[in-house]
Amino acid sequence: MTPLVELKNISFSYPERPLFTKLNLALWPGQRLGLIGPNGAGKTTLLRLILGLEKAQGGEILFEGHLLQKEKDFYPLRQKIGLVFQDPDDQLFCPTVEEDLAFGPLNLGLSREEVARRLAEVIELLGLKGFEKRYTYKLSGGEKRLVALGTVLTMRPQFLLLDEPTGDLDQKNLEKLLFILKEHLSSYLIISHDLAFLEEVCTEIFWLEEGKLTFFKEGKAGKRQAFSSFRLLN
Amino acid sequence: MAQKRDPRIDIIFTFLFALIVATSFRWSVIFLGFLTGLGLAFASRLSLKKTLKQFLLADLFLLMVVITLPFTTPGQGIVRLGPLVLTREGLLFALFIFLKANTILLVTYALLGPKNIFEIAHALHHLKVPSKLVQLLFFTFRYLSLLEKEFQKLLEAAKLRGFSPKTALSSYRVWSYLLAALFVRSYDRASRVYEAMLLRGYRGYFPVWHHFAWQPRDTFWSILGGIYLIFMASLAYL
Repeated sequence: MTPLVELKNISFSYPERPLFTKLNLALWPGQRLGLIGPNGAGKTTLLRLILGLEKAQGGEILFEGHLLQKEKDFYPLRQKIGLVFQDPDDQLFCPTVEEDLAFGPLNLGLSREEVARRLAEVIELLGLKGFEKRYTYKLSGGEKRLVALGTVLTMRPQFLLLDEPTGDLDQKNLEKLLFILKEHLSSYLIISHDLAFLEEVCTEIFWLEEGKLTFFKEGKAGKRQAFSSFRLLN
Repeated sequence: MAQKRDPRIDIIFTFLFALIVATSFRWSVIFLGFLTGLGLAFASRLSLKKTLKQFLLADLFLLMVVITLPFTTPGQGIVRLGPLVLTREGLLFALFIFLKANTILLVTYALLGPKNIFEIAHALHHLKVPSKLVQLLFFTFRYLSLLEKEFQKLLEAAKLRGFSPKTALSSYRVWSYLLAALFVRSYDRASRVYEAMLLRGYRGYFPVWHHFAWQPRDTFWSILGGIYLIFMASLAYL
């Protein structure tokens, strides 16, 4: 078996500070991982490296066993690995909620019927009924966060990367997120400073500090084997 | 929402109207066009104060352009200012251009002003305007408001810490800091949004989900607009 994504001996540094030397990480379908660590440890950068938004200065990135080198090599990976940005304002740019949710699947070249099906599914899942025609820039912080998650879910990623997904969520929306993660998704890596949250939704939690990724503790979530991280329970 | 006209009609009408008025050299066309503009502005319930303010701004630019015309057009002189001669023909010509521009502006403002940029961008997509142009327009507009918001936020933060804008060197320094912060932030924001688009499979084409549905009243408006445009065109060219 090959992992979905594999980072081998990755080295990366910003001009002002070195981050990783010889970092290794493998993501498998069915993994529910948490990532915690001090500010500036490179958690977000790690996600950006996986998606090819930052290019590693040394080491290899493999997707389904294939070595990724050029920008174009990352296209298939980006279709199967979704990133939910830390700031939802970076993610939402279409006029209406509906347009933003449809942007990814339309780019994937899916038929309009299939796109409509996915929209309905995600809107139902996120409890965004009635939000379809709302302007994304007029939503509240919590609503924006849910829609940002939705824009990635409509692409049906096999693995989801979430960067601080709990920020500015109120209790109700937080419970919604917990429910979606626990019941409808099976493969993800979540960055958070909220250890209790991570323990609730992850099976394993890792600590990132000074360029080293170490096992931190077990979480309470159950492990699931699945090939698509997006599953709807009927 | 229900009584909304298909925005494509407004865009095509505005475009053809502007074309006729811009190429016509008859006062009757300008006069009638201006009346049409006033009527449309009235029908769209534009706020008089806001409209006048915006027109004043646009007309200031326009004035700078037409100001030279009375002096450079040959004809019967009225006033002599040193080496410059103000001609009757020149004055009329300047007035003509000025009114012409304002007529087009008024109709554009009345028809397209109340629509939001998203409707217009969608409509342009459906009218097969090149995707790059539509995106340029769309993002310029979308991020102008974002930039403004960002700047307001920075300015408020500065004011809350006791900054009061004055005409002094220290004030100018703060303004320059604010501007620099704005540029850096907007650049960062723009690149993050672009990355988010890349991650969702963006390859330069902007897919549109929402399609317009043609209603019977849209046919009515197109016929009415068409008759008016034919009338104006015959007035202008025949």
